[in-house]
Amino acid sequence: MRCAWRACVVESCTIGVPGGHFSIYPPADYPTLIMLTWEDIIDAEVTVGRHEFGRLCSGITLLRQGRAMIAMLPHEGFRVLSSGFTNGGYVDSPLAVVNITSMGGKAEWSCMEGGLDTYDRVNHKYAEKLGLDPKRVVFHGTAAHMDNAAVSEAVSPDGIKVSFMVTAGIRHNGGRAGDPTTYDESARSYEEKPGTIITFLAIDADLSDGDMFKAMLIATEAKSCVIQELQAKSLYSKKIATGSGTDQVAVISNKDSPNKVFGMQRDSELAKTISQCMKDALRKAFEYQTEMNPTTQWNPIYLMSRRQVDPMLIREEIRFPATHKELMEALNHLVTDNYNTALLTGLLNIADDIDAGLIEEKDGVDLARDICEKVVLDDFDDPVVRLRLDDCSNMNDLLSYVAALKLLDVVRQRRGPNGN
Amino acid sequence: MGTEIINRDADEFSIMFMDEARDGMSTDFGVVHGITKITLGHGETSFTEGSLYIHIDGDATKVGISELSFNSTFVTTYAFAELSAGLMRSGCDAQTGDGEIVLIVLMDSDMPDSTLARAGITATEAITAAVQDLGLAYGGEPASGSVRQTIVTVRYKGSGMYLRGAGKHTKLGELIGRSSTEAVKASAAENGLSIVNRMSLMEIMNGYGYDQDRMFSLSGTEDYSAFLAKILDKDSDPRAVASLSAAIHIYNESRWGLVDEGTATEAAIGILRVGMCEPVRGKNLLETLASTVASYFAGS
Repeated sequence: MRCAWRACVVESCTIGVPGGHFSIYPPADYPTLIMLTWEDIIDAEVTVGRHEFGRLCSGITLLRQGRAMIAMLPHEGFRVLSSGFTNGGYVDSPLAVVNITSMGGKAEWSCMEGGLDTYDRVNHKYAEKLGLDPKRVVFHGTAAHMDNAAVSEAVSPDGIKVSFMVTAGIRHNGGRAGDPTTYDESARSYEEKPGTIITFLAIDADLSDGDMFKAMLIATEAKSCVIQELQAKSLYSKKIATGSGTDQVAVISNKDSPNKVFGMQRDSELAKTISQCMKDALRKAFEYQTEMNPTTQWNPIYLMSRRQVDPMLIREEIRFPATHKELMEALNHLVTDNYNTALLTGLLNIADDIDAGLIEEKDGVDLARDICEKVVLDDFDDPVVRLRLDDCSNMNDLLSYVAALKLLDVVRQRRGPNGN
Repeated sequence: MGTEIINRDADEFSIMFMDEARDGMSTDFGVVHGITKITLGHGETSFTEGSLYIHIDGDATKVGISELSFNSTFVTTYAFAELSAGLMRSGCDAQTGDGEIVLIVLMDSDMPDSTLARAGITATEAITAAVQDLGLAYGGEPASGSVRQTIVTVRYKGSGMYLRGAGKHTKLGELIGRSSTEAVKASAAENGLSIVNRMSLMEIMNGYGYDQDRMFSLSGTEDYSAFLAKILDKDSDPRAVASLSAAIHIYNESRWGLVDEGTATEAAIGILRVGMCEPVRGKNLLETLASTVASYFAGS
């Protein structure tokens, strides 16, 4: 048996490693390093034993094995459309559609460094490890753990069953369509970030190829709505995300089904059922993987971070006449203050409207300043506060300074009228 | 991208590929090979002998075009977007009327079918982003798209560049996202709908089910003509519009379960009091917003 922790000691800056593996991680100035490759990990993994995780419609069984969720297709009459990298596109009669949790750590980095060809090889090797024929498997990959997958099923009013398996996390990779990126595939091989939404959509109907693509995009739109409803932020702009950078969708159509779908309308019962079922599955998946839900999202620190206003910035706005403990307690108090959080989201909306061109910046900042003075802050007579509020010429300056003043207000309120 | 010829008249908008046929993925046909021409017009949607024809109801001259590049990655997106009716939010009943979005994303790279599909995902998110940016709503629901949406993603087999990533984290995905959003907004503006339309209290309230008649009934006034005259006078006041927009946002957050309606109502009232007028409470938050706007219009 091969040693699980086969080590290759290499010189600094060495890129080519005996055995044909490549890595430039960790940094080149490390005097020596121990190279652990993805092959080592797969060889070492114990993947014996599958157990049933759940069911999708059309007799599809969801099996858990190792790092994988396997949607095992019960017969050859299925057609799949996948946006996944390995064996994606339209695929007839696959054995299974698979979602695999990545390895984490250095070994995962070594997969990316090798590019998508290496990613394919990783998937193929892992499928073999699972006892699956890699040529007949449609692959998807994510950092989310498969035990956190959500499954939802629904039947459209016209009697067509749909079901979803979703894994989801976008706290570290939320993005809005059109956000600036740094990864140019034409220049660099592959880049992956934790935070991906993987969707398996099974429809117990024989869909045309166009309708399979349409179903994929209907599920996508439902995803963006859930993200909006959670006010999940993009990490690459000041806006609300529409997805993660690396989302993948597989649509599974049962060609043997007596239900035939051709020319599905977006306002049809089936489309509506797909949307609603996707929303249900995605909400559950967010909750399972990252505890992202309306309660955890309703946090002023998180909401302000979308515009790069964070506690460090707020802390620097004024020299607080308070102990660290008092400030932390005041901050905790504000985090649970739903009323002030609602006001904050109103202010953030004004900032968004300025960005969108709905309102001139000066008009928007003036309005926001008035709201802060009359609704958010306690009365003040300090001329410095007056000067500084008037000096805020953009929303970020205003939000940061007002947050600091509010924090101080809370400290004073908690001390009581005698300042104790 | 240099090899297309565009023909545009009131009936049809055509893109012809002069050098080499293209392949694409369409929400009507799935993968189609050997595309030599793509036409938007009033005929029937079809794909015959290399000609992909996509039906639109609207004026074919009002197609928005956005061409973007980064190093050797090029994307050109053509959009037809009629968003004055037929809006929908995913999973909800659609607005009545004949709105539509057609999006054709031309990528000057070769790629597998899976990447064509991924490009469609990115383009769909871009449509939703554009609709959100425009603040479109109907029947109390913020819209996420149109009741009719056709998306075609097109690759260029003859390109020397083979790309597999079209997600938002890639440069190709960024170009798809930006160009799709820009093209949709450009066409929507050609069709008479832009951010300017949102600079209106009545437009915002219309999206939440309150038209002029309903607002008049809430205003407590009896002179309809005078009320309409006041709407004309006050409808676009920047402070009032921005404060209503903020209050509507808080209303949506309460519907999404982020905050309870009572707290949302108090926060919205606080904002409207500063930006508009003394609020008038209704039986729920939305009616409070509408009553306050009606009172603002009716006031001197």
